[in-house]
Amino acid sequence: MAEATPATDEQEHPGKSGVFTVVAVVLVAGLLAVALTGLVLSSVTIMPYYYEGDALWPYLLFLLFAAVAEVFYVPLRHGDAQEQLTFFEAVLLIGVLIFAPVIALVLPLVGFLVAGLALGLNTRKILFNLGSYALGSAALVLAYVVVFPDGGEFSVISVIGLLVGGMLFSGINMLLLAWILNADQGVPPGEFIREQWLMSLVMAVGSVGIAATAVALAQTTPVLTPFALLPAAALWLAYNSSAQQNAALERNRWIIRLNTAVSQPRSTTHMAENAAHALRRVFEADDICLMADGVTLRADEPGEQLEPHPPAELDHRLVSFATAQPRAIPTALLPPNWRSGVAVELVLADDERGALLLGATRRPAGLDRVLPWASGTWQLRDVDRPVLQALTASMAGALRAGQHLTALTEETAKLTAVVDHATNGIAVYGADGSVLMWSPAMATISAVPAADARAATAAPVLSLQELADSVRGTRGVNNAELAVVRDDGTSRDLNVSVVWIDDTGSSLGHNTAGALAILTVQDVTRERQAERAKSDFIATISHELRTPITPIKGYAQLLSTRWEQMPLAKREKVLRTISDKADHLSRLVDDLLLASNVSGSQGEAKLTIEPSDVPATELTDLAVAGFPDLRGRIERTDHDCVLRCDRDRAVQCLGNLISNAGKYSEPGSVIRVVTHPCEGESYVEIAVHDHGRGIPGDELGRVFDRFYRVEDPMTMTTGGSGLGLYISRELARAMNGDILAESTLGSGSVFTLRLPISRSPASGADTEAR
Amino acid sequence: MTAKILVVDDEPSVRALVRDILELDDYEVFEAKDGDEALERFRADHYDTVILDIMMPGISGLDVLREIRAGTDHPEGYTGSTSDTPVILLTAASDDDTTWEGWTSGASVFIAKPFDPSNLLEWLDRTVNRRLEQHFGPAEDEDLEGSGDLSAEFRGLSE
Repeated sequence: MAEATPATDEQEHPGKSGVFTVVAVVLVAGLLAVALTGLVLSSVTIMPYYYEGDALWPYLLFLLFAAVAEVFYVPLRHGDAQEQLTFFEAVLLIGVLIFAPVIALVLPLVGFLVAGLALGLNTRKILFNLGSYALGSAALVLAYVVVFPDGGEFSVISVIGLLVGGMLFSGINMLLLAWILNADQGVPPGEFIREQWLMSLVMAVGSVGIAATAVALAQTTPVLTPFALLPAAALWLAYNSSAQQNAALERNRWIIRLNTAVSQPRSTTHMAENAAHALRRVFEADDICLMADGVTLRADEPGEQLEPHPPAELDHRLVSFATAQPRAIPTALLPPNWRSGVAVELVLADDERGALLLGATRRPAGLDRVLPWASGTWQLRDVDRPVLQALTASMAGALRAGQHLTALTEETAKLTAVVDHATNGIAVYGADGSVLMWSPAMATISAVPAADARAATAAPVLSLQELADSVRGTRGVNNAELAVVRDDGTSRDLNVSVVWIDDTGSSLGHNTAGALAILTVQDVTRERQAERAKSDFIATISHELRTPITPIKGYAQLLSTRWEQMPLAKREKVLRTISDKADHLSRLVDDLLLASNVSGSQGEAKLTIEPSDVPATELTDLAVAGFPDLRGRIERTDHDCVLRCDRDRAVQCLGNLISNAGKYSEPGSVIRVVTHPCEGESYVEIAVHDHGRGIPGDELGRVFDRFYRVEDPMTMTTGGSGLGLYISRELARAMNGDILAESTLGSGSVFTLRLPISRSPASGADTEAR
Repeated sequence: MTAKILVVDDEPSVRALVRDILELDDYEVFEAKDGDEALERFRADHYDTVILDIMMPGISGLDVLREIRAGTDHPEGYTGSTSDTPVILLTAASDDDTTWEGWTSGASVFIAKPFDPSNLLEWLDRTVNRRLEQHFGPAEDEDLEGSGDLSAEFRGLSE
């Protein structure tokens, strides 16, 4: 019995350059060896041989034997590769005993080639085996000729020659197989040889026995020659059943792996990756497809991992076609390139179905291809049906679980995103008061990083106890607004809600043992500041409005009730006061309207600017004229130039600055009004210097804010509306100018009105002429 | 004898108005432009009633009122009876909180600006003549008025 070594099951690892090299080397070496051996043996006639007749049929019969020996093989798996045990060696030995050495060497190789092509074996496999057999055969024939050069009847020497040749053949084949398995599968050659050497030896001896027995029978009792095949058949059956047992064991291992793969919750893709290989191995299918979860997965090449495929490639009627029982797929529904296949239903949900498809893309090899009664296509074996059915059910279960897991993961990711991006701070406290969660917004609001909050060492700025005390209530949601001083010393106004939940997530009415506390914190500092500014403004405005109304109303009523008692001069004075105060009130209302106009950035409410050319000195004259009581205190430094501005608005702006200087500086101190050009003569600045208290640096930027006043409204020293600087700067900017502020605490402030210089000297001269 | 009234307000026009109103009824009017001046004058002299603004620069009117009621660490003339001098708060700050603070600080009367001169005169008449309690409560208070224990009643009110 010979050992054939069709090595790589080319499905698994295509395109390995190492394998190609091995095949090429073996093939070339084998053919060279055959050619050399043939040359040597044909040049020297060294021994007689049994058949030298002219008839062709013994040669044809020999060729047929060689081919048939290749057909009846016993598959042996080595990892992903398959080895095939055949009777090639025995046929070869018979040839050596009967024919001329060159015939014995070449004919079996030709027979093998014919059988390989007829069976549709893989080209690489054929070439490797051809090379491997050629090398082994050459060695066998040479060894026999060398050991038993005299020829003739069977003798001890001839049997030794046969044994040496057979062992050489088996040994060479084993070594080459070890080599290619190592190149292809990474199987350690030493390990393979340790496992194989005994079997190779036994097969070598067995082959010699079969061949010698057959030839001996043919020589002595030709009628009995066919019975020489019986030991071969018995041996074949024994090997076959042993191989099948091995295959069954191997298959069981794959079923267990498959079971493990499908028993855990998986996404469809994961499932496919884990199960695809095992499925193919267990059911000996070339390809599988998974249609589930809106995706279809299929390998591009046989042996590759499954990858998502365009759904269009798979007919979606397959899903409804599939049933719990595996069904053969009709040709119309077969996936592209498939020759045959079965579909099984995957129950993913009550109303959701998927399908698992198993099938073959290639024509079957071996006898199934040539025998007329074979189907010629891959089929699910009957014994595999219940296995496939059971596996499909548990695969569907794992996919369902996987879907839930995916949904849960996505949901969690969404929740995490919500928490991470929420503007409100969110924190979760455990039953023991420890911080379980501290959102980024919480870290920002509290100025306590999440790591510090979680660490027991750093007490979070919002201690649960403190909050629970502040936010005590009987309802499920407890809400309170707290002013919290943070570690960095700044104070925040926080709107805090606490909800207590138990570990199932149900809301508890109040804090109980073992409850989790969920804290939501809204930073309302800015809102409260705005509210305070607004209520400050309203307090201010109402005070400002009432101040002139008080004398107006009081004097009016006094006049009406005490007219007779009041001397004429008194009445006149009183009426004048009423008029003055009404004017003041009117100005105040104008200010408010103006302020709302300059702040109303859209619509027709926006104030109108009528620019004209105004000499700077005229502007200062007009502004200063508005403050007769400050006249003695104002020192002017003028600069002759013409400004482009709205005269009345500019006077209003400058007047406001002078008025402020008067209000905020020491009585009698000098107020300097300095006009000077700046920025390459395109602007002029009119700076108003006072000797007041000055404005603290942090408040300087806010003096232009609407309703902002340096003093507390309750104790303010001036009667302004908090609108003057705001209005003035808005006006200045509307005239393409600006107002700038500088201040030194304790020594005074400088407010500077900047206005553009007129670019038309003619009109400027005109104005000056007037 | 003419009653002496101290008018405290930072706004000159309001001081002038109150002076004009009061002088028509023959009160003797003294003015202070802020809290410091008010306390200075108060410590130096006796007044029958103080008319006090709240929103003023420096010490607020409420602080002045509390200082008057406390009557502590001051030279003679500012003890005992001087601390229960009637105080009329005349103010634009008439929100609930301020009003409440005014009452609890010991204000006798609270008048919101703008005000009716007749109103001011009527209240002034009552405080100067210690007839304030007449204005409060049911009829039985009329009986108490008869008992003559006016200062005790007043103290009770002003606490």
